[in-house]
Formats: sequence, structure tokens, C-alpha cells
Amino acid sequence: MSSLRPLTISIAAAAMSLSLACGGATPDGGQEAESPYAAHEVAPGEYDDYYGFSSGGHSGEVRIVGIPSMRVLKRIPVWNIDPGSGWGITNESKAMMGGKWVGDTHHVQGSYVDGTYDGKWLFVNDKANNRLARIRIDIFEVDATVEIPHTQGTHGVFPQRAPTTEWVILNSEFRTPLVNDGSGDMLDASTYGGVHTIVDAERMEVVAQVQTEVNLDLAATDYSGRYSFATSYNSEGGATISEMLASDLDYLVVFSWDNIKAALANNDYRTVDGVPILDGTEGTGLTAYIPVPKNPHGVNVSPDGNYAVVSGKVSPTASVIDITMLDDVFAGNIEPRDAVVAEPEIGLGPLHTTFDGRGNAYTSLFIDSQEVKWNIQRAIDLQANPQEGETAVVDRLDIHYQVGHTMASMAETNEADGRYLISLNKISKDRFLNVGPLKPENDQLIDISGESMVLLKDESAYIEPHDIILVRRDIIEPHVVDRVRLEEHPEAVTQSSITRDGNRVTVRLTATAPVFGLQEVEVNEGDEVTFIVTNTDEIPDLAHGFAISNYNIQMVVGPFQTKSVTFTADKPGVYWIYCTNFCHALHLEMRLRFIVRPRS
Amino acid sequence: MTRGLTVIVLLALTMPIAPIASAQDVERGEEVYTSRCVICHGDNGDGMGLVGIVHRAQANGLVTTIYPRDFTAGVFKFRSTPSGTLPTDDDLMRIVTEGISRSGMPSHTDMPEADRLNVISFIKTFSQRWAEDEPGEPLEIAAAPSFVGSAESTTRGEGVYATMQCFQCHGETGVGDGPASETLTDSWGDQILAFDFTSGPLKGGSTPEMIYRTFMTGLDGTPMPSYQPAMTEEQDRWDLVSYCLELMRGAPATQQD
Repeated sequence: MSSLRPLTISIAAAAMSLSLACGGATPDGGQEAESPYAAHEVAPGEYDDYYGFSSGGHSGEVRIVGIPSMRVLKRIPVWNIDPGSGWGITNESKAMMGGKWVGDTHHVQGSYVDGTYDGKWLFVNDKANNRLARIRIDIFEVDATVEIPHTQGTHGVFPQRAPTTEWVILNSEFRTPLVNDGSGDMLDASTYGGVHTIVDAERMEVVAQVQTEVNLDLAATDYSGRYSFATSYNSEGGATISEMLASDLDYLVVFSWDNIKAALANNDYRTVDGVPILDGTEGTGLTAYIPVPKNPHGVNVSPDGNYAVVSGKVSPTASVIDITMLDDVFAGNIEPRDAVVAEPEIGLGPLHTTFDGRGNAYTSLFIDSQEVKWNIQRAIDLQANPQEGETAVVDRLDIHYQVGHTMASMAETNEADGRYLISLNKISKDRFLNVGPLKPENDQLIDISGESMVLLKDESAYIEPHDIILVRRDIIEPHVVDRVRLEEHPEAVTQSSITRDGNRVTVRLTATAPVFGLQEVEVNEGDEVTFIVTNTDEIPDLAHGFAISNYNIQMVVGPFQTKSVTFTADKPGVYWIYCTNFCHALHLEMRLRFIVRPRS
Repeated sequence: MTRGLTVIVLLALTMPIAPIASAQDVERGEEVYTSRCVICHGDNGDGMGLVGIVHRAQANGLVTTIYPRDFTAGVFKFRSTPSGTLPTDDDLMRIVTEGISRSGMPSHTDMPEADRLNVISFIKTFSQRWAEDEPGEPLEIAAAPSFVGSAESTTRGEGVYATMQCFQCHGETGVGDGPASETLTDSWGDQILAFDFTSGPLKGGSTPEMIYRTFMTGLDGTPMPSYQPAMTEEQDRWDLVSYCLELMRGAPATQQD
């Protein structure tokens, strides 16, 4: 460990050294060269080549972005209330939200088969309320969620990549007491720890948690289904920023799935709140702690499955860990640090690394506001045989500004194709019309098909895409449907009716343009009313809205979908229920009376 | 725009008409009709109300327009009575009350029963057939035998599906893409789609008994005939029900073209 070069830099001094490259606007009307984007433009009526699946940060949502047009095609509500769909309003969505209406999505990942996406599910974390959600790709809606116990800052999330996604792992960025119920000395941070949570992807249940003494931040899995990774920037166990930056070295923590499975099979765990807790602290054999320079950030695995690249953040380096050497690390044949086969200096504030499938890595440099392209093999060769003045860096591109995540097309699969790179920039500063103190972010599209990177397009983004994956259209498109099965919802309505059980009234209502299945619904003040609404229209792209005037209820039901909502009829009077989602030439007439008779 | 009724299966029986509604009932029925029905079924009961096209169905590359029921023909799809006969008041009452699943016909359980009966009286004034004819005798349909839905029955039903040539319209896999499916028209000359079993519930009802009933009654005004004469064995009829249920169960979520 002591052989490491001192690589820390002064972040504060460099933090705002923005590179202010100018755009190509010619306000004087002068002749302008054709935009490099022209060759990539998606003409009206044409489709994008890639589905981009982006997180939405503390907006709580997931977005579908067409690449290369950068058009936002859909916003999928996950950890937020969305009247545009009824998410957080319907009984079905409430059951999946557990009464928590805020969330913080960071990483959207796809389910895998044999190292590439299978088009079945997306997974997304909630860093704020510590949950995992699963999105069905066929309808692009959340179909399951699970709360992650014993953890805070549920940040890194990654599915098993081979042979198929049976497990999804999540990291806890914030060290906490494992049993966090107010017992013990809560101020004594030395008793805190981080857990590596394993979730069953099919059942969406916690399988087990591996407890460590360090914090566990960003996550990755290997391409063989045998290892998972977590960067740890607080190996100090500090509770203040000074304490967290005290040590020159932190870790990439590697989890051995072989050893975890053996421990589970041998009942070598304790059970807390019904969850098996495995001891993964240093020296237990479940984990390897590979020293890397202080406070690392992302960990990404190269498409050939051979290398895990840790981006340095505080250190201007990337650390290349040879995954094929991990068996020897776990066997004790070599020191953990021996698996670091290269550590090139690449620039200030490296956060995340992505790949083009041609041996090159692209790392986002937050402080330098750059994307840097470097060659992995060249870095390994230069580590073994340093040559004065030689570097693994191939190219640099200024971005605008302060890039966080970066991702190349298909880069988290063994089919990385090196066509496009997305730079998710945290700050747009002067790139767009001024919209006040809270400005959009700037997501930039970059062509990486050639030797040099070429900036193609700026696209504004609402808060806050942390990460994105770019998935080839042909992988996703065959799975996406225009309507669900009508009977998929057990309460699907084909005939409207009103039934009463005591003070509980259930209204089953069809919606077929331009009529709801009933014209009047009468209830008594104080009744608990459930509306179950099924869209029975046969044609695609015809959704019906359902709003109850003055009752704070609104939802949208897609073709053949059923959604329900329950509330107390606490306001006597006549209230119009109407279709909010334009459906027909007589859409405005598609309404019915909700009559609440006053308590006598 | 007018749609000519090209085919009416009319058994011109001259039987006396059972209970005749009072003039007041018909008058009240007209008020209800004007409030609830006229927008689709039209002032003249010919299905040419302001809504016009109730909806467009799209499947297998075909787009068809579906009109509301034309009462002037006195032809009704969903009945308990034999093919070609008028429905009973109970049949009409069931449709008015419950609506027709997957169609523009809503439920009217929110209306008093008397109003529903009155509007039926009024609807009968649109066709002379109600004055000249009387409803058929409802077919008696027993409860489904216990073997319905079994693997053996389903397999046998697949054979019946082939023998009865259901595939001609409904297709080999039940999705409504059979060789005849592109040329189907109803009695008004409008193109219609063969039912896609994999899309779920049937308009005529999805219980085993309701599916059986549809085989027996046919759907008058459409190319779906009664199989009462062709399919004489009870066993075959229930086996075909089993196979239809299986087709409906296997329905995947769909991507439409």
C-alpha cells in the first residue's frame, strides 16, 4: 500500500475552473459550417437507434430518452406522485410505495442474459428511502418494489450479468448502525457499518445482506456471475467530511459470490429482522479489500469482462483491477493491491468510466469538465514499463459543464459498440435561455466512432439524471406492447356496476370513448368509495383519464388497463367525474355525475 | 349516409304479441332514450347518432369501424333465443342493465328498473318486426360439466375447432387472422373483425355457459352462425368451450400492427 504515489489534489482550487468553450452560434448571420449532428439527426417520423434509460435523481422518476435525437419519450414515475398517470394516487401504485412519496433515483440498470440485456426488466434504486423498484419493459411501468432494511444511502445497484439476472445487488453509501432503533451509543460512528444487499430479481425479496465495516458506494458485477464490486470512500469510518478524507487510501471491495453462496448454504449467518446477515468484514473470506487512492467514485467493468475500472475522484487517476486475478486474491496467493494492473493519470476529478468495445475507456472528469479517452492495454503496458512522456490518454473533449456520469452505447454489456457517448453534465450555466436560479442540466451527445470524440448535441434535462444506459433498439422493441392483457388486473371491469357493503361502495366502471360505463353514481356522505376503472377501448394509444372534481383524484388508464382509487366521500353535493386524457371528438362530454347525499 | 340492411333473417311468423306496453310506458321510454341512448343509436334508432362510429377496432393490419346497434332491423346479436329469432325482454333487459363488455354500450344499473323496462318498450317501436313476430323460445343451457377446462377436453376441443373450421375466420391460433377474416362483413355491409380469443373477454360473456350459448345462438347480423345444427354432440360443444377458454387464457400482452 505504501508504494502508492501521493495523488491527491486540491479540489477546492480546481473545482470551478470551468473550461469555457464557445458554441457555434453566429449571431451576425455569417456562414456556418454544417453541424456535425446533421448526419445523426432523426428526421420527423423516424426512430432512434437506441433506447436511453435515464434516472431522474430526486425527481424520483426514470426517463426513456431516444438516442441520438435525445428526445424524452417517456417519464416513468417511480418514487413520486404523478397525476399524469395516477402514480401515487391509485391503489395499485400506493401499495408499491409504502406511504413514501419521495425518492432519489440514481442508477437504472437492465436485466441480463449472458452478459447483455434481455429486454425484460429495468431496476432502479431509491437512495433517499432505501428501496429498489423493478420496471416491466413490456409496458414501462413499475411492477414491484422492495424496501432495503439496515441501510441508508442505497446508491449503487447492479444486476447479475451472467448467466441470467437472478440477483440484484445494492450498496449502502452511508454507514449506519445495523439495527437502527435508537439503542446503543448512536454518536459512536465506529459501531456503524455498510451492507451489500442481495435481492432476488424475480421475487423482489431480500436474499441476504453482507455486513462490512466500511461504506459501500457505487456498484458493479462481473460478467461471470461470481463477483460483485463496491467502491468505498469512507474506509476511515468517519462521520464528518474531514474524517472521511483522512486516509490516503480507500478500497474497492470485492464480494465473492462463491463464498457468499457457501456461507448461505452452511447457515453461516445470523438473522436480523428476518434477513440473513453475513459477516463480510476484512478477513472473513467473503470480501477482498483492494486498496485504491483516496475517495474513489465509480466502478465499471470493461465489456470483455477482464477489468474493473475505479475512477479516482479525489485522485486524478483511474485504477484498473484485473478481474482474472481475483481468484488468487481470495486464495491468498497474491496481495489485494497486486490485482491493480494500471493506474494512469487521466485528469482532475474522474467520476465514471465507460467503454467502446475497442479497448478504450472514457472517463468523465468533473473538475476538468472533460471527457477523456484512454486505452486500457496501453495503460497496463506503461504501468509495467513506464516511458518518459508517454501516456495512455488518446483524446480529450471539453464538455459543458461538470460532468457526472458518462455512458457509451451498450457499454455495460459484452456488445459495446462504441458509437455514442452521453455526458450527463450537472451544470448548464450559459448553454440555454436563462430560466432563473434553478437551471436545467445539460446532457451532451458525443460521437465516439472515430479516433477523436466529436460533440454533437446539447439537450436540456430536468433534475437530475445521474446515470443512463444506452440499449440497442432491436433488443427492447420486440418486447414492448401496445396494451396489457385485459384480465391482468384481477378486478378488470367489463360490465359496470355499483355494489354496497355497509358503508363501503365499490363502483366498477368501464371507459370506452366517449362514455364511461355509468352516467350517475350516488353515494352517501361518509361512504368509503372505491372506483375501479377499466379502459375497454380496443385500439392502441387511446388512454382515458379519470378525475373527480374537488376530490383531489386523477389517474390515467391505458388500453385494457385497470386502475382503482379509494377515498372517503366527505363532501356532499354534485361532482362531475370527467375524462382528462383527450380520447374522442366527444371527449368533453365523456363524464358522469358523482352524487354525494348529505348525512341526514 | 345510409347503410342498407342487406340481409335480414326474418321468420315471418304471424303470432300474437305478448304483453304490450302501455302508451305511457312507451312515452316514458322515449324520454329515457332521448336522455341516454340517442347520442349513439340516433333519433331514428338506426345507430346513426351523433357519436356515429362508436369505435374503430384495429387488428391484424385491418382497421374497421363499428357502429352502434341499428334497431330498425330488429336483429340482435346477444340473445338466449335461437338464431334468427327476436330476443326476450329478459335478454334486452340484461344488455341494458349490464352493458356489453368491450363495446360502447355502457351499463345502466344507475337507472331505475322501470325506466330500463320502458326504454325497451320504446326501442321496439323502431322495427315493425316486433309487431309481427314474437321472441324465440330461450335455449336451455345446462351448467357446464366438470370436465370443461380439463386438458383432455381442451385437446378434444382443438380437434372440434378444426372440424368445425373455426380457423377459417378465427385463425389457427385464435387471433382472428383466418383466411376468411379479411373479407368479413356484417348484415349492413360493414367490414368486421373475427374475434381474437387471445385478447380476453367476449362480448357475449366469457363463462363456459355463455360461450356455449354463443355457439348455439350465433350472433345474428354477423357471419358467426349458430352451430346448433352442425355440432350435434353435447361433448363436442363443451370441448370446444374448453378450447376457447384455453385460447383466452394464453393471451399475451399484445403489440398491435
